Amino acid sequence: MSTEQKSTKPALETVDRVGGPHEAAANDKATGLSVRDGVIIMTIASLILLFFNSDGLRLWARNLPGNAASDVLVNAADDWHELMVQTGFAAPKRVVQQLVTGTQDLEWTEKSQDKSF
Amino acid sequence: MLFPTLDFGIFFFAVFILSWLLRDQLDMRKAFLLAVSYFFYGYWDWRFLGLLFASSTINYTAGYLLERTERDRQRDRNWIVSIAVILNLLILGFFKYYEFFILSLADILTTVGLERDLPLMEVLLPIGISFFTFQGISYVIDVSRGDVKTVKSPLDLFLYISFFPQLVAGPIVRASHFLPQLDERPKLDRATLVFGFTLILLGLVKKVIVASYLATEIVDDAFAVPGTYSSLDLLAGAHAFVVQIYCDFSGYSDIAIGVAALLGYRFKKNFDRPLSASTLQELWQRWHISLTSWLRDYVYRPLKGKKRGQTHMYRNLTLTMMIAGLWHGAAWTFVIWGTLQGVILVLERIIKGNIREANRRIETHGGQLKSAGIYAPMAILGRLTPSTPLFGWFITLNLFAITSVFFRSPDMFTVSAYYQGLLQFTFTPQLLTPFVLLLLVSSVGIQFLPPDALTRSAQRVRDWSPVAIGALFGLGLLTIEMLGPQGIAPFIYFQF
Repeated sequence: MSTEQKSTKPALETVDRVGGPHEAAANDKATGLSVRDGVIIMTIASLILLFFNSDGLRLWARNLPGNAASDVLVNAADDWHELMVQTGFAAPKRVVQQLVTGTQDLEWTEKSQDKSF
Repeated sequence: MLFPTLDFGIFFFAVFILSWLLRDQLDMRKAFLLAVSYFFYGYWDWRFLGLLFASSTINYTAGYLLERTERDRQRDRNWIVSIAVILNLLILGFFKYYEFFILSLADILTTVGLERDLPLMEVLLPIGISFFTFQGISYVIDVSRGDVKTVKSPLDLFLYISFFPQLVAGPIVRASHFLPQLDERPKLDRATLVFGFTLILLGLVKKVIVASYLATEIVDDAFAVPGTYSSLDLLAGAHAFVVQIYCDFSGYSDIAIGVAALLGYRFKKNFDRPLSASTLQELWQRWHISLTSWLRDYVYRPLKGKKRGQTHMYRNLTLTMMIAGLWHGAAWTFVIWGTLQGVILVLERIIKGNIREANRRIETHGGQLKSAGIYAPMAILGRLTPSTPLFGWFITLNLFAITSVFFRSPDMFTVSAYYQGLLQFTFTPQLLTPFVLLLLVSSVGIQFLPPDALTRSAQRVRDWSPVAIGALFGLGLLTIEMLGPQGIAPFIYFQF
């Protein structure tokens, strides 16, 4: 094993600067804004998944341990998915999955589809 | 809870908000992160929370005692380190290797005619035990070497060992890198934020799409009944397994690093495009870097590495890789796989060294091949084989894939059947479909992109509005969800 193994830099090269109170205040403000942005990013992403991945939400709810609370979630997820199907939001996922299935089923030649031994 | 699940999404959303709200109260923040890390681990199996606590206590106590034992009492310090390491290894050994040793011992006794009913009990393997045990050992040894200061508070050590992003499948984070970060006021800037989300997306693509499909489309079938498939399928299956495990594990590491970054902590890279390496040595410098560097620092170097000459170096290298194999699993197939890696690394060095020596002699003595003496065959080998990185890459990837049959096979029967199948030289593809080939070629091809490709991609969107970035991130998650197969396969490395 090489003792000259490449030194691995941190995957993220953020600059640690030691500065005065102004630097600290600026860092604080930047961090606060970044955290706010992080919440916005995750919220928007969640909304996109809520609308376009209602089937996934339904599956998640059905896999929860059975109790009164999860029953409510299952019913709500089912109703939501039904609504997304009716409004067309669930359609893109179905289409893409069909494309993927089609790609998975591609064979080299007709002959190689014969799987008998 | 698995990373690519809604459960984890909800969990992390809450942790992200609450941990940053506690930014000004460092100790409270650490206590909160420790609590959620224990919750995360307990979500898998609450019965092993005690084990995590015990492991952390052992290592904290060892560090505490080392701090209170002066440096001139080296013998006492050695005792403390030895006991701590032995306790750590006993825990790991019991949970991970008990059944392996008992069954192996039973086989040996049966072979020599001393069959016995040995006590065999089913021992559940606590998730992540190999990872957090190695982290604990590294802390104790680093404190004894003076490479890291003893923690002031047990909170720091407990959090270091159980921090949830890396708890169950690494990276194996070093105390010297992580502990100082716990004393700093956490920061988050736009670049880190965007890069964190980018890494998470990349990790999910690797795990949810590439690794999952390769497993279900080719690898599982090829290794279940290797006698059924052609040599071409089996060769493709071996390569597919290498790509699968790379995507599975590096994908998890990417997500772990991204999640930690979003919480204000920096982890080092754990994979660095290993499938583009042109030698096995280079591959191992880029594959599971946190483990290989751990083995280098705590196994290879204590064995004196190459300080006692070539033969010792070769022995130490082989032994270290054998231990790497054993770390991955309690089975002879893993031990053989690790040993093979060591042997090939040794052969690589010998061949390279001999070709260099042969060429040196030829150059020194007027360019005559015969002046190379016993190294002449090596000189010929050097001239016949291209010394291009591409050729090296081809040989390395194939060697790594062929030897990975031991790693993936559940037993030696499968290994034997697999190699027999490979040597049939039949070429009718059943498992190797255009879809599988596309996955393989693109996964390996991407390794040849520049090392900063991901950073530059993240920088392009860094200045977008958070709504736009959120839309992009959401579309990315949606695309992964749409393209990936139904259901979530667990990470392969959870079994280690």
